[in-house]
Amino acid sequence: MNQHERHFAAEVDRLAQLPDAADRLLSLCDERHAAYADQSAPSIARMRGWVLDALARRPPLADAAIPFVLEELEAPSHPYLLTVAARCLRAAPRPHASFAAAVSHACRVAPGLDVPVTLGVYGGLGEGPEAFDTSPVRELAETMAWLGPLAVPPDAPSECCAELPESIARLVHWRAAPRRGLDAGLDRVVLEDHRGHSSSFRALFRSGQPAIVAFFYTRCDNPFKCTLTVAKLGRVQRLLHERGLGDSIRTVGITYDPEFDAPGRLARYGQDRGLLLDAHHVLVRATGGFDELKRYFDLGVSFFESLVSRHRIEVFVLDRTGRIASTFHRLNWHEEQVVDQAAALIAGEKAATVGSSMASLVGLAALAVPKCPLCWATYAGVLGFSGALAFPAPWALQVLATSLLLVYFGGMLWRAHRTGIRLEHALAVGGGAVAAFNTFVVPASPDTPPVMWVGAGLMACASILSVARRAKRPVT
Amino acid sequence: MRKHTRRTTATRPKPRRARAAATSAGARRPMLALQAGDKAMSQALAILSDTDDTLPRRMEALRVLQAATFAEKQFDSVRADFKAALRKLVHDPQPELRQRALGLLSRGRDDYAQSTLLEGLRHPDKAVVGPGDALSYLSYNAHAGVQSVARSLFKESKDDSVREQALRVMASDPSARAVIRTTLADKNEPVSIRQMSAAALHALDPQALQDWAGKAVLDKTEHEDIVATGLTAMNQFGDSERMSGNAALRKRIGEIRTKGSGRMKRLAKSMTARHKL
Repeated sequence: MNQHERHFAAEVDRLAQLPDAADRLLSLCDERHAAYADQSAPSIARMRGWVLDALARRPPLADAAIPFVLEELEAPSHPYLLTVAARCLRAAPRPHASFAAAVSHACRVAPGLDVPVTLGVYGGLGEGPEAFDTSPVRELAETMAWLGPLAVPPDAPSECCAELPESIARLVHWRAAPRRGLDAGLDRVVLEDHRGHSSSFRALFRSGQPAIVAFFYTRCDNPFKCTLTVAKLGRVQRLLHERGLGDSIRTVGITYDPEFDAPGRLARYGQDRGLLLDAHHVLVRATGGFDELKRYFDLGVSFFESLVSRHRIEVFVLDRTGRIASTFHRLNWHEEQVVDQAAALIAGEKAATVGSSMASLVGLAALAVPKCPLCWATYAGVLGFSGALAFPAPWALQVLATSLLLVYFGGMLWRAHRTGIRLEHALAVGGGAVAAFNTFVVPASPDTPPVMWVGAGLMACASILSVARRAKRPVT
Repeated sequence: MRKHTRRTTATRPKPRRARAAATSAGARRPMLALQAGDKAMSQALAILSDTDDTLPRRMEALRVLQAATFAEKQFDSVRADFKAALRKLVHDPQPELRQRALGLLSRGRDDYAQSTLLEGLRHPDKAVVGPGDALSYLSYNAHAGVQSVARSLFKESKDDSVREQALRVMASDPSARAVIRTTLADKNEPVSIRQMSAAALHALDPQALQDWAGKAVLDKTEHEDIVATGLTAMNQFGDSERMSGNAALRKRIGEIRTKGSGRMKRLAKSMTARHKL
């Protein structure tokens, strides 16, 4: 245990005593936390293990903590972390069928990782090399017993079990991120693919096609993370080809370790894991602007010197402009689900294109509709000159005038409701009322003063005032 | 009619001397008198952990346990105890047992072994093995966090075997690239260190090694072993087109093919044939 770990352990112990301990400890589960910066992989495993150990001592386990626990069971690599995770899961309020697959998988892997562990001691190393009170296998056996009838045997297929409850899944698992704009910093990103060809982020991802992006690095020693992710990316490619989407959706693997993962190494790594590599489906490294890339994807990765020390599983679906449409992280993802998301993006974009064309037509039609007294006067003038205003009877003209006035009053009331009552609304309603009075109550005649023109004037003023006010408003 | 069968390594009769050696080794192997069934493993563990027992019996107990680790299911019940016993052996007075235990634990990336080895590198008074061995064990795990220690040992150590082990670790550390390139080009460095640097540079930056190899082969003042390293690198990993377009290199390889030592001639001939120079 180094000095930093000593401080960290003491801080976790302090936080565990606070009333909001669960929230504070949860924030320490994030790989991006500053506490993990420049710490080696074994150090981070001990630190995270200590956080989970503290969470396990304060049941019930919050929903937000469960993905972090399941992550260690789905991708076990460190015996202490696996042991703590197995115990921590038992701090959940109740067993759930969706935990069974992860526990079953951990049981398959645990014998190879079985070492003496002392829980309640930082790092799991008790007093002296021989002291221990449990081990990964023993803790998992207890967790299997806790699951009771929900448990599945270790040799059960991985698709055996229920999906995570929505309350947990929506936190970090398969969450569709809100669409974000492209960061200007991405212009600094230079990506070199497995063939040694370089391109910019925009050239690669703003090619007019959606992309499925997975992060990995070739030196990852956890077979359930990068190796599995890249193998699954290969299965994604095959699914895309089966659905006839192989040429319309790109797949891109990006390495976390651009210094070490040279093009030749990337190509070999991908081919060995069944990836179909060509100009459309690529593995890339960032030869420039890796920090911008990390910031854009909000990557859950920490580094020790030049080596990745900890990362989560991260897969993204990008739309045709390179914006993140959905995110799959931390827990294992299903290839079909990712392909469905990308395919839906294409379908959605087609529908949006048709919708956008229709909207343009409606907009043009709306432009032609007379919307204010000035327009009415213009239309009336045109119709009068052309002789097109031939109504079958005077009552028809009155019906038209009544309808237009009702639309006018309705529109004014709606605007007043949206923006609050303003001078232009008062002028418009007043002008309309005068015009209506002079049309229906006391019809205009050569003997009476032309009150209708006053009404029309007020309505024209309201229109001009409204337009002038809108012109002053800044464009957003 | 005699049946003709191809003899493999396994079916070929062993020479008499080898058979005799194997028989005597078996005869020398101490009998542990282990009980049958599950108790055998516990007994073997007890012998292994007993510092008063003889070294050959303890080594034999370790061999038995190590062989049993392959019997996955049967060994699972004592696997954690076996690891605990190995961790205890890390501090055993017998250096052979220490080495074996550290080797087994390090291959399994055991936290205790790694911490003990790192502690020994940082504080030599607490070391259970020498720094060269410690680096060698730690190099099994690229994520052990030993890169910075390796760089400082490479810089400060006077022991070439330690520096070689440090270079092995540095071969997976991109931030050591500059140091490795400098070492490779430094004619004052021992040949073994420069050769190890060449291997490390190939792992980190294959093109940089090819660039260096081209210069090393052309340099007539360079040590023959280093030229041989350069030729081997070019022969195995070089770009034929680029090499055949380099007239000076072709000429130099022609010289080596006619005037070099036997080994150098063979290398040059192999290169000429392979890359059609």
